[in-house]
Amino acid sequence: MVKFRLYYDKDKETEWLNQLSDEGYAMKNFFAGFYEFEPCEKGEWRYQIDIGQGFGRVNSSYKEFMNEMGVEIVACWGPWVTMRKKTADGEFELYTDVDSQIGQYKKISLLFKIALIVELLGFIYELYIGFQYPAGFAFAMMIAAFIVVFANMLIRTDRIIAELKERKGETVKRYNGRQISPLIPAGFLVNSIALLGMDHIPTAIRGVMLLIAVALIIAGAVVTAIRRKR
Amino acid sequence: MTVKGMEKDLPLTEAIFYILLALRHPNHGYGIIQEVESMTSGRLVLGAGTLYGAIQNLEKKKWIQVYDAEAGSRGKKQYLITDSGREVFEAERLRLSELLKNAELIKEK
Repeated sequence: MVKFRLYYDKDKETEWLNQLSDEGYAMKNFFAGFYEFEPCEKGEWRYQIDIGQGFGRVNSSYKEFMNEMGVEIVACWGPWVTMRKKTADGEFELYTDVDSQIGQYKKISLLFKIALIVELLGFIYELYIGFQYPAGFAFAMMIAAFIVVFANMLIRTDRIIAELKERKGETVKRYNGRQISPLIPAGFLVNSIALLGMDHIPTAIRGVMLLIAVALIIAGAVVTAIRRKR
Repeated sequence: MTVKGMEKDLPLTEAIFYILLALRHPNHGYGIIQEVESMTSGRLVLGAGTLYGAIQNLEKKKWIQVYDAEAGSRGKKQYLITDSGREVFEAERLRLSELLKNAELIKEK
């Protein structure tokens, strides 16, 4: 069985993999959003996702160490490492104290920051192209949608770090980052499709799409603005 | 005893404290987890990621070292506390006993 998913939140991804294991499907491979599963006994495996020190691979000391713990490395993708342990071999938690949990989320925060910088550069480049070819604007809109999604993840990650630090007894500023409404990236995407399909979609429909896009973006901005701080 | 620069290493986190303690004799990763779990009657179970990170960190600080590397080609990698690791642990022990001694004051009215 192969499933396609795009996860950018490793906590949700872990939850999903464990849920599928409970249903009798064990993930055994990953490539560019395609998850390959094989049948297993219901609940046979517990999955966890870590950030390794390598890229697309783990170093041998890490692999040996995990194997010693009864943990099997299933897939490496970019900096992410997916691994599993037999449920029968006991609890499987990677980070059990606040300090190491903070350490892991700080790494994740750094990853999102790097990704955001790359996306911003791409966005500026496509805008520049957009002055010659309209497709550039379409791609810029698409990248803008990803920028919002990643910015949300960064906000979420930094909030988790602040909460962990607070639990440790550190005084932290109340972190008041609020999530950006998903309506905004949805609006960007609709706009992008309307621009890309310029030659194929009738003008009337494109007009409606642009209206919907603008409405989504405005609604998203309003929802984001009035969203209460937690 | 004051070792220069040691103040910033204290207090030890609970995980580091118990890992150093479990490495007073040669021990491997899984052995550390089991020993810490039994010392704390099951209260503290170290996660694999936490332990891996801590071991890397302690090795870098030279508080622990790989024990008997040549015999480790086949078997599991073992670690042992170093002299500077023992110094840090002793400083922490003194800090903790002061804490405990002062804790008795709570009984006074």
